[in-house]
Amino acid sequence: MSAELLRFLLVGGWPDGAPGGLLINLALFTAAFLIGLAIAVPLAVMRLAGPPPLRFAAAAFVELARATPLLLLVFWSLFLLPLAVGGYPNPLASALIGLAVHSAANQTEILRAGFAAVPAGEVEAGLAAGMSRFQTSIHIVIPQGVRRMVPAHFSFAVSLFKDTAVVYVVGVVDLLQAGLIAAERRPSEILTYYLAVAACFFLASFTITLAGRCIERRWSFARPVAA
Amino acid sequence: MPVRRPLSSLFALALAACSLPAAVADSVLDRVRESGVVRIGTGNDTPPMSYIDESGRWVGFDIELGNALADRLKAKVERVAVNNKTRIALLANGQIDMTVSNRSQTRSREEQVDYASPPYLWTAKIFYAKQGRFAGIGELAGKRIGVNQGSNAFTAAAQEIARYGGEAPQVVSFQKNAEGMTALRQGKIDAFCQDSPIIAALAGDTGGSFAAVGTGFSPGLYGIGVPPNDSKWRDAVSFALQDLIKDGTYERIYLAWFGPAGRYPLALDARPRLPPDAFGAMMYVWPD
Amino acid sequence: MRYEVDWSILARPELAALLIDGVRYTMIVAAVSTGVSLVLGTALAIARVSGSGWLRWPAELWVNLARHIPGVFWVLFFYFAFPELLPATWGSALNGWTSFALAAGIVALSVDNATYVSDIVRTGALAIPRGEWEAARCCGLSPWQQWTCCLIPVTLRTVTPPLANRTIHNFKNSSLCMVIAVPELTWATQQIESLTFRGIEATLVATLFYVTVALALGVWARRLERGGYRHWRGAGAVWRRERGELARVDSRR
Repeated sequence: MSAELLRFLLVGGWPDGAPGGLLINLALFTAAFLIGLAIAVPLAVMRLAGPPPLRFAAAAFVELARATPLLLLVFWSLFLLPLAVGGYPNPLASALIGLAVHSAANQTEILRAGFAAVPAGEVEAGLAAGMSRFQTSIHIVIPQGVRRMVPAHFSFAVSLFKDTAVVYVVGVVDLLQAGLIAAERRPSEILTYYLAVAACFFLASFTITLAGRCIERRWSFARPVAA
Repeated sequence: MPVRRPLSSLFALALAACSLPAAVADSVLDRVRESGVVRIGTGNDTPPMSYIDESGRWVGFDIELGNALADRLKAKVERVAVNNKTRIALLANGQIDMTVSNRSQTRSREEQVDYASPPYLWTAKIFYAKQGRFAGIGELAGKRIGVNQGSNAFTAAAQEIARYGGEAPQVVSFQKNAEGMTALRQGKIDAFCQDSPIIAALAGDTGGSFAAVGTGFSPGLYGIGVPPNDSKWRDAVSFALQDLIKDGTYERIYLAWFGPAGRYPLALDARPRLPPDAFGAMMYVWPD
Repeated sequence: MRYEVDWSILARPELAALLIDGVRYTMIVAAVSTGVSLVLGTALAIARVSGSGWLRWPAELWVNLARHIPGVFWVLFFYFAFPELLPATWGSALNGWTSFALAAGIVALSVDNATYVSDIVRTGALAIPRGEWEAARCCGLSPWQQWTCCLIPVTLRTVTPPLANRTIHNFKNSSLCMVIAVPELTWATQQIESLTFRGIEATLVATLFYVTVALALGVWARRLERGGYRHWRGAGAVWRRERGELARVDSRR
């Protein structure tokens, strides 16, 4: 495989032309993870401490989004979004929105489970010591909850990164699509390109796993449990 | 959590999204004149019609024709990537102003959108298979036929094979033409069915090992799609297209792609011409 | 922008048939791949906890490799690339097989799901309190009896709820098979859109189907979880604590 094709797999036509390849997967992953987190924090608060209508709305969103295949979330954003806000569907934007909804719902669930896992006794101890509910949240629930949810967050991050590959279905030239295009142009080398695509996905997502392990070890968190 | 309530909220969401008020029915022409921008839908993975080359540029016959049309209409192109599945819905919903996207005119599509006149490329569907494997289309009965999801080959291929009698074929629809060709090379399907210019480009380097089965069928009259019920805009696009045919711009683009010295020479003339015995193969344009 | 919903298209027999067939294929793909991945994943988990390095290392290597590769890659790989790895006659036999796309999709989802299953089963096996193993040994049970009478039932209790959750994921992932033209439900919605130029109606019906089945499986999983907690406090509690779920049960007091 030539250096030129390897470049096509990694960054597409960037910096002279349109970005593509692994760069798109990494960009989509980062954006979807951060947007998801930004939505998940208020949603998790709504689910845990909101008034009943908000609590129900948050729960409905989370359960629905988690019960819908990611591919359909992407198709829905392709259909509904332009109808709702005008304009035309942009495959990359639809892909990002589908991934962000998926990410928000799953991260809400991780946050909720993490905070809910803080033993009730800890909260009671805080209250008994004369702390307000707000102080209890700041000093007891949040630090403990965040610690508990870090392993789950990293294993979700790995799965979100892998899930960015489905955007190839709406025509985004990500790593998978780039590999397929390369393989279609040179059918006799199909195995080389599949191997190259797998290796790139592996290296990138393994890096996320390693980063997660590193952080867990440094802060001596509990070992992650299978997702 | 109860199972029922989220389902009903999905319904509410969907209905809310669908019952949005229709846009005010001004002609697209007014908007294009005002803004100086025309939104053209084209595919990005269908050589030689429209694709993105390895340096990330949009190229292809449809791209060049679309650019020339926009020039005529004195507007800048805003390019919208469409695929075979989204191109009709986008027009029908008024989200793009026209499609120049290798689209054959069919009755079912005409019910949803309108076409500028004349069709700009006259093609046909072709079955493509291992050389010498099938003597004629009749032998494809009961075989596995690959198509691209969104191409009207899904309907046309089965209808054509049915004309010869015998078992109905198993039609397999892939997300991309290139995936169908890979499947054909690997023997996962027995024949692939697509429009003649697209097959010519897809076949590319397969050389002599694959060939057309029988002759072309199901006329693929490629038409420029426009949103429905806007005859002012439709006329503007038709006249612009005919102007391009008259002033030789069309001819130049055609020869560069499909002429004998073009990138993908076509065996049969695909230019929109009138019948030779009546008009001496005059180009298909309307008199003033 | 305008889109008028037209439900009548779903009543057209040829389109309704696509949806019904889609449901059938989705169920076949999901059920068979879940079954295969349970067997494969359990075998991998046993290899990973076994004393023999010859079994443990290849299994660890495989699981850690497969865990980092997307499911949709596996689907395309088994369909387009796998036959090329085989001797030519086997490869062309596979390519010539009419149900090859279905089989490739099932194998791909099984491989993808098996790594997660193996993690769950391994965690379950490691969560068995040391006392259980010792007790089983002290009672004079043979190694076979230790497994069948004591350790497997205990592990089953702990692993069933997370496996049920995993089954929901795998059910949703069956939609990935659309990329290799398996006529499952998501493929059917796209096919209907390409025939009618109207996607919302069919996609809504498909989404309702996925959501209903996934939520029903979820309710079942939660019931199992609660049941497991009541019947088996020991191992169940360990698992739950590790999963950070203990307080959720507590908070319901």
